[in-house]
Amino acid sequence: MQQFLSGATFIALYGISYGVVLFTISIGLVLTLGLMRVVNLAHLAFAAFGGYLAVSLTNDYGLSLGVSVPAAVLAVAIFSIVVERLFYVHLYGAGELNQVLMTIGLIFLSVATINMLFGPDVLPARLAPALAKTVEISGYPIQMYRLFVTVVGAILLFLLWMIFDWTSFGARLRAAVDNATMAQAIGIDVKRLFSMAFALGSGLAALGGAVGYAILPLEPMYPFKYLPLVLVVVVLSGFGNIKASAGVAVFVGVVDTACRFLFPASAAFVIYSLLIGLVLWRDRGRPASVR
Amino acid sequence: MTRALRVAIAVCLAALINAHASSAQEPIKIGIVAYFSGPFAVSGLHFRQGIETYQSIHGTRAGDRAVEMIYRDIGGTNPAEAKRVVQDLAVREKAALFGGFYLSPDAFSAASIVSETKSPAVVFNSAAPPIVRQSPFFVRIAPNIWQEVVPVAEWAIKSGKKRAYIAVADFSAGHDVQEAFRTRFLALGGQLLGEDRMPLNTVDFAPFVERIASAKPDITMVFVPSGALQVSFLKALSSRGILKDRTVVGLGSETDVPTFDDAMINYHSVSHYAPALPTEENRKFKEALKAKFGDRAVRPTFLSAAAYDGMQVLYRMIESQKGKPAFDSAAAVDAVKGYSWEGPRGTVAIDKETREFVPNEYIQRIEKIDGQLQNVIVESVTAVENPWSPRAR
Repeated sequence: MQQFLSGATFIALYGISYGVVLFTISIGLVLTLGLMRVVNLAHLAFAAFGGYLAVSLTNDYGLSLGVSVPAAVLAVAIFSIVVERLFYVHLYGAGELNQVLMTIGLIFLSVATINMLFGPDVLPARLAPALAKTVEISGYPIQMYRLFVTVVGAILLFLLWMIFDWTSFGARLRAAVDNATMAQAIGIDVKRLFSMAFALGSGLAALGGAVGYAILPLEPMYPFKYLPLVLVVVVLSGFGNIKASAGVAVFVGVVDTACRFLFPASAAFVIYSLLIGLVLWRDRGRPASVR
Repeated sequence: MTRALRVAIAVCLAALINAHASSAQEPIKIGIVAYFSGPFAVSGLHFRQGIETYQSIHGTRAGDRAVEMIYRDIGGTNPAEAKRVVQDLAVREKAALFGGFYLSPDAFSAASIVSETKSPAVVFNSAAPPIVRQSPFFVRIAPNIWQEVVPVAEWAIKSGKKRAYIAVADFSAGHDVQEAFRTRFLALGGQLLGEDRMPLNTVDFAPFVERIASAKPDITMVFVPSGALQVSFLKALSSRGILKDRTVVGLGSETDVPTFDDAMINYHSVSHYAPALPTEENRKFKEALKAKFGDRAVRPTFLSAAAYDGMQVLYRMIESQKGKPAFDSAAAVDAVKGYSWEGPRGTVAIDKETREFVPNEYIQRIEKIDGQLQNVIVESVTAVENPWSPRAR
């Protein structure tokens, strides 16, 4: 019983914090996919750029994370508007296959760019001493960093929820997504709105990359490597559902942690079996009233 | 028409004879098969800097022949591409010798080609035990996995660490580490508390670290391929505080040392190269590396040191061609069988019969010296026999 309890504590603590990291790198894609219907597989390239930028600012210029992370997020958000105007505009309304093809091409481009700019090594990144400290929660040692990430994730969720449900920007965005033509007719600048939404999504990705680097190390293959995990979260949360995606990410984190802790031999595929099962169930098992 | 044809043939023949006559002055080409892009691109960088460091000291001539290096990128483990590249280099570029080979599958698939073209190939890193036996033209200048892991098991027992845990990445090299450690450790009377194979798609290693922590072993043998995966795993180990009071031993981690923080102090690793080795040859190697590349220089690692020693072997093969009209592959391989020399990794040798490497193994520990994390040698084992060689069995 004692052992079971301490195992459960471990799974809860580490699973949730892992899930929150997944949430921070996925939420941007949940947004852009849900709002703009663009399958942006290159989403994690923005996360990688954000991470690289923030860590480089800290390493090379001695800025604290409190300065370098917002700077990196802002820079990536602005950069993403340029990219959106140049490339992504052509994808609005295009077929999924075209979207996948182009965004995969963008991943290859970004991997090569990172390799060229920063080299093939994992980017050396150290935690600030305050975050590297270990504290005990009900007898379990856990790094401050994990708690910090969890708090950041919670704040993020709250802010997004506020923006979408309470601000005029959120209302206009929801209107544009539901019916772009109508929204335009009543004087909403849909083009500009989508640019802003895209920048928001990319900025969130950059935040995930910059905050999550101690669990997801920064390396050139980053945009490819964590894509399956992000897609699991995106697929399970449904279009643009922020609250669901937070739940799903934490769920994935906890299940993954539990499997690896309890059944390490089969841990590699449990999460994917779960994904297949849930997708099948959600498709067939919807209540008749919704169908 | 027929006359034009005859003239053309004559011209071609003349060119051919001419080409043959001048071949003695032509440089000998060495094809380097490695990864310069993709997930393991760091290995190619280390290989290349090791090679060029050797050339910055010993020049680009071996004996009386100029040497030309041809670097080929196969972008990550890709047996089919490795085979194609070796074939292309041997047939079209007329490369006489080969070097490189980071991961084992590539060396395996190149074996049939180098046997056919009779091209001596020096394996810089691939550590799967059976590789050298795949071709009589293979020579390895890195240990196979058993040679690295067996000394760890012996050291553990010798220093009274009798209860062990094994955690390896779930792929062939990881399985080799697991088997080598388990076999030797149990034979010496040790006790295994648990063995885990960690899937390669693991992102958060905390659960595996938790399993190790709750078993409370004296020594933990770990192996995860270097790069991002190793960094994640080691971060998980250190943030759990496991390294403070328990011995955890991994395989060659120098490439990733810069990414570590103080929590990594007391992490052990075994390698055939120790940057701290206080020999003249090692000092020369480290200084030349720094002088040649300046700020771009990689840390001296087992990869760059092996490439450096690999060049020593390749140059000796070329020197053996003195006075020979055409490249004599058998003579080249014979010239390095039983060859012993002093390099950055200490006095090392190539076994006379098996063409396997006879390395020194260094068990090292990360310590903080002058404010910098460094690997310090805690145990040196010289001339480690290959457990697969007839003599060692």
